[in-house]
Amino acid sequence: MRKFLLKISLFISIFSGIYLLFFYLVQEGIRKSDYQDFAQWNEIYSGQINSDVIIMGSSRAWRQVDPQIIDEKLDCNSYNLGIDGYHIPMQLTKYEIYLESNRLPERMIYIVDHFSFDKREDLFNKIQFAPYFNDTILTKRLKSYEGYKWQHYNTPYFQYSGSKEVALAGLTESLGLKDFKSNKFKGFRSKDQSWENDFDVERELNPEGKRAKVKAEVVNEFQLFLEEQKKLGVEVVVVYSPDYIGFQDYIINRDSVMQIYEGITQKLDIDFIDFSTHYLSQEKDYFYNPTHLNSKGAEIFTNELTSMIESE
Amino acid sequence: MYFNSLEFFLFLPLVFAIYWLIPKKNVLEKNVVLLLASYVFYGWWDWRFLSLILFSSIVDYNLSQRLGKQNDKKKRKFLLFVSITLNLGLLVFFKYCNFFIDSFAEAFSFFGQSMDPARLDIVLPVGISFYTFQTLSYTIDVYRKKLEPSRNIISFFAFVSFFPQLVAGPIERATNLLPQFKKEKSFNYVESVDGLRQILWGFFKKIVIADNCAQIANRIFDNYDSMPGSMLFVGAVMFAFQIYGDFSGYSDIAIGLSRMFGFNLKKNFAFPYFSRDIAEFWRRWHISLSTWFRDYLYIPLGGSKGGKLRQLRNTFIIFIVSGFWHGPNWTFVAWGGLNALLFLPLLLRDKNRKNLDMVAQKKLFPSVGDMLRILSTFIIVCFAWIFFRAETIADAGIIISKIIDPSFFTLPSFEFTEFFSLFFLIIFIMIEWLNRHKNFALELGDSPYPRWFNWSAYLATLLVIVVFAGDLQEFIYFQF
Repeated sequence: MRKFLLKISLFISIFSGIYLLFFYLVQEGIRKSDYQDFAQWNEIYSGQINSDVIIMGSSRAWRQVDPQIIDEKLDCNSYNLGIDGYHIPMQLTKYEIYLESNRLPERMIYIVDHFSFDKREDLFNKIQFAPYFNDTILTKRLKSYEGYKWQHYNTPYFQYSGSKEVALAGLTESLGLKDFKSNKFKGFRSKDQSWENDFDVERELNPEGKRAKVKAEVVNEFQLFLEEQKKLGVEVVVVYSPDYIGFQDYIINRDSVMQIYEGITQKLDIDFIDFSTHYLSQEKDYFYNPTHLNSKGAEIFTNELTSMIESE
Repeated sequence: MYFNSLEFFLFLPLVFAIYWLIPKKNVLEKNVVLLLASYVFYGWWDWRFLSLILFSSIVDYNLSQRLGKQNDKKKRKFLLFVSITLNLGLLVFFKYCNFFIDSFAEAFSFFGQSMDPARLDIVLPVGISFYTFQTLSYTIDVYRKKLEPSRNIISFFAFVSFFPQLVAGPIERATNLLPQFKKEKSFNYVESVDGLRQILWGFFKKIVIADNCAQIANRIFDNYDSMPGSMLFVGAVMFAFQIYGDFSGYSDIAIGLSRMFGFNLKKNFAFPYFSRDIAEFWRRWHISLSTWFRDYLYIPLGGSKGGKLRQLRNTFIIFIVSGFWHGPNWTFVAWGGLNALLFLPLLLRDKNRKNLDMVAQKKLFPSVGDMLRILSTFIIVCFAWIFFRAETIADAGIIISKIIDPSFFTLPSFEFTEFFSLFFLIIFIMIEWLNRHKNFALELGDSPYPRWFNWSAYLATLLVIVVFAGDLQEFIYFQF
């Protein structure tokens, strides 16, 4: 038995050493990599953004608002913090993390929609958070979702299990074998694609439409956030981005969601720009799906939005 | 509790330490530890499942005691009947009840009568098919007087619930496993180390091969209507390796764990994809179930005695029952029936016991003829797996019809990460081929390599398991 225990201990010790070294290489590699979404998180954590204008929101922000156009038209330095697949709570966490290492912006463009007041239960694209479990702000929020468990937070490398491509990207980056390039510019990337037919099929399946979920705690969190930004002197403008006209009546409670935005912005005396009736919303040509503008639409939208902000 | 869970990695060293700390003469105490550990292991899924295993153990323990004392043939038969009825009754209720309700309703609708039957809200207890068959074989063996009924309730309960093989086999015979609970056990270094090697290899099969193949197979089968024939064929091949890696991986872990505790379980897989005909495949695949059906169904039905026709009938019965054992779906029945059909030409020509040894003995490569036989057997096995994997028989039909259309000749396309899976699959097949004469591929045996090489191989295997793990999938056979 003694021989067995000795050998097992030796084997486990050697493996632990290799394992921890491997984990270190993956983690460090990813933390300096421009691979996929890590590029933006690393940029945020590096504290080198320090933008005058921050664009907030979900995929409706990062797919539709081009910081390059804003920079040129408003002669400023802007950055898009939009986060794909998440509602307001995670959007606010991303901003909070941004402020850990970057200065307060002068202006904030908050892109909202009828889905914003929901909070999903699971983590979408959870691997993007894996290298940053040392950030308590992030982990506190992550723990409010299903996805990572105790062992992922407390066991080295567990958060990467099942994500071999990420592990290899981190390893190759660490060893200097590959230098990945970010696929976003200042957090933005448009999609050059024409209309997908998925919505037409969905509409046929649900002719009565769909109800947008509104969670009171999310509405409250959003209002408190805007209040705080105002107090801090950040000039906020809330923007309801275009959604295709044929989709608008599909959301049964769209008007009541809109009233919440109007109510909050009026109460706090914050600008609210609604693109629902804008000509962009009338044409399928500008969208790749009912709630996302394609490259052509995004360019027009950013230009129009910037002009409106400029004139106010 | 899953073998591939963090809980198990805490559970195992604890149980191992307590078990071996108990002096070897204290057999009872050792069995109590195993029994409690097995109940914790099983109850981890759902503590309510414990009531079933307790019920099954109590029933078979008591009936076997009565059988042991009873000499009257009729009464013995009655006791056996009670045991079979209660065991199979539980299995049928939990596993097949809704299936029978649905099938009954479908049969009615066939005659123009529509029915909206109320289905039962039943949770299928994991591993019920395995331990039911294990306890059944015990009672039948006692009835046949092949085995003395166990006088030690703890040994018997530990035998029924032995955690390494409880939820997915191998289905052990009481004649093999039960006496091992009565023997004194001293720690065996060689067995324990080799057991660990087998566990390591089992995890490699499950986590690297099965889970990665599952990702490809799922992508293809979930979108089968938009896939060309070539991709669907790839999907069938990937599923073949998924189910092999998954199930034989589990068996390796189970056997390896048992060896660490001083128990020897029977081999469940013997490199089945190197078989040269379907009969050989079935001698090498899920051996514990095949032999169970042979001993408790095929032979009582008359086996091969009584003419060719009876042999054919019995073969079809065991394949169809074996298919149905896998789950309450006509696809499994079709899978069993198809395998029986594939068996038919061999039976008719009396060639079903032709290939009893391992292919290419003492040679590196098989002959061209053997190679072609292996490939053709593998392909027909893959076709049968399509029924096993498909949701319905109609789906399986569509998939097969697409495979045999001209789109079969288009080039299959893979996603970037899938090339890793294919790479490890090729390595895996090579390792299995080179070690096909062993009990499992990583068995040390008379290894010609220096110790540092072996250690490096184990460390590399473990690292590959950690890094190249596929998306964690549940063991397929847990649902059976």
